Amino acid sequence: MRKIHILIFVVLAAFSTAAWGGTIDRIISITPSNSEILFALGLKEKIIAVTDHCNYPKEALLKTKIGGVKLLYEKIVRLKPDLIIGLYDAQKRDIDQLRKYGLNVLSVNPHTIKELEEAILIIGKATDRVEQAQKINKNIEATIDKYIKEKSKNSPLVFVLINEKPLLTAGKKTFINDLINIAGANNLGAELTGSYPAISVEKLISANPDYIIIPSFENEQYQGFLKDSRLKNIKAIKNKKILFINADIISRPGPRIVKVLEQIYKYIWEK
Amino acid sequence: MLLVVVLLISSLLGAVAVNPLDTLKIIWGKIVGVQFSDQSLETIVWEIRLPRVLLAIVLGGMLSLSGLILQSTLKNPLCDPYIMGTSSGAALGAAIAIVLGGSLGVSPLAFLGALLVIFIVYLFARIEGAINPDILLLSGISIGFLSSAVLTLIVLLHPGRLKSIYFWMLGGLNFATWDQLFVCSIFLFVGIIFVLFFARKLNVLILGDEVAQSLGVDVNRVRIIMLVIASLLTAQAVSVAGIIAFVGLIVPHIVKKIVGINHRYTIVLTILFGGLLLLVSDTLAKIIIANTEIPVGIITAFIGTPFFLFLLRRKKTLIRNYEHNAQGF
Repeated sequence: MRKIHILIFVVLAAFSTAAWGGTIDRIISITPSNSEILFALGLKEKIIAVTDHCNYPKEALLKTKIGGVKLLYEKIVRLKPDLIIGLYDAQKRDIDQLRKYGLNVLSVNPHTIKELEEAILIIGKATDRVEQAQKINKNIEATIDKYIKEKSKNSPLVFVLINEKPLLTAGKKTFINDLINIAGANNLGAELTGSYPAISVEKLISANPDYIIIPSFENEQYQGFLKDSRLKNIKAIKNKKILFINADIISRPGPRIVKVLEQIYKYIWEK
Repeated sequence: MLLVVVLLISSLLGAVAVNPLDTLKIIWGKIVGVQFSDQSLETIVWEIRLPRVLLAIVLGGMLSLSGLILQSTLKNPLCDPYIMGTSSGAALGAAIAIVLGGSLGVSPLAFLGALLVIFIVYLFARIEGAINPDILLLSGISIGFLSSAVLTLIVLLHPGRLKSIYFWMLGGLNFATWDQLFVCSIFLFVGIIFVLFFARKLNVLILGDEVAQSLGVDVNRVRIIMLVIASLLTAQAVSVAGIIAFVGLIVPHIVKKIVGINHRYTIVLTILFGGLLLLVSDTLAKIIIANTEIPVGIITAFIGTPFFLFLLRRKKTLIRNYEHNAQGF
């Protein structure tokens, strides 16, 4: 099913840019992840606007803003973009609406590292930066080659804390699950149903994970969870094997996401 | 008149400044078929702003009319358009569309969800061919809870879509298009025709079922027709703009406080006032914080509540024709 989606997007992408003709000079990104990809493709000069949430790279902060959760359609139209890049799953309605205004919208929808590479290539093709896109993908693959580890019987078990109350973790179809597996560990949430499933305290205690990974924004402490007396005998908490990762990076399907792989690998195997 | 003035002002306001002269030129140009020099401005005024301000009026009218009908036919001042679980049903439909993604439209599924819930509620409330208002309200609320529970379950299994679902529920008019405006206008128009046709009978219904019966009104038939109209109005409104709270509850009360409850006047004024309230609120939602758009429900509550409370404290209607009500039908 997902494969078909990707195929459709590739075809659509090819079609929409072909229909557009001329070169792409005015790009608006309506998703932080796509802003990161565009900047990585070296399109700094051609990006004319981004969202309120786009904070990486720093240059993104200086760009014109076209709204946050609610996009300001009037402003987008006024800026006369020749290409808008969005994220399909999260922004279906916005994308449909912008197309109704006759704008050229390209959407990508990656859920795994492989799909991310395809998405980067699609955006690269649409913006005439194919070489740059291939370079980024090579870097991603190089990082993976460097920090890949074969799994064994003794592979450690990792619990990803997405939310304290209710207790949520990361399931199968998530980037963090991908990265944990590449780093040669097992993700506790992978046995559960859904991408961010709820998990019971009992299940967490009985699974007894070796590591806990917490995607967090600045100043988030998670003391309630870490000091929970019911959890004090869990290996990861007893041995203080808690890894905080940048929630911005892991929640955005962009080129930076493999940095988290490096972090996880080093934390588990080099410490 | 006030509505027209506000409509004009609203058409000039938005995230991008377009000067009034250009706005008029664009609208005139569209009517006579002349292209405006700047295509982006043309899109902003004609494709974004105009459908949106007009849709605000129509939706405000639909919700208020639906609220008025429900309050009158069920004889309960607490009725709002979503009282029969409509909003939860629509939210459930929308959430399913959002989670499944693909080609499933959010609006059509929300519409179906709302209708399905209402239909189930009717089945429960229908006892020996007659609709029992108390059972209708209670089963509406309980089916509403049930669909909320299913919605919560869906959200829990797909937290990634939480934001989309949440923002759908907050409601908003930013997806307005001419097509939607057209469909909604038809709903409102048909609704108005039906309600005006039954206005006299609605007046009688307020006096109580027995009195109405003795005056030759088929209470049950009127009630069912009116409920169907109200449900269709709400289902369509909620499928287009999500849940916009408050308008449907308070506008009928405000109007009744001002002119009394003769349905001939109340209907027209309720629709106009509802349209006005939603238009003003949506305009403020667009401009009150620079470069950000806030959910319109927040504004309707901020404007509506103080005004409503002020009116509640007044004993008499502002314009005195409440007394003529009984003779007015």
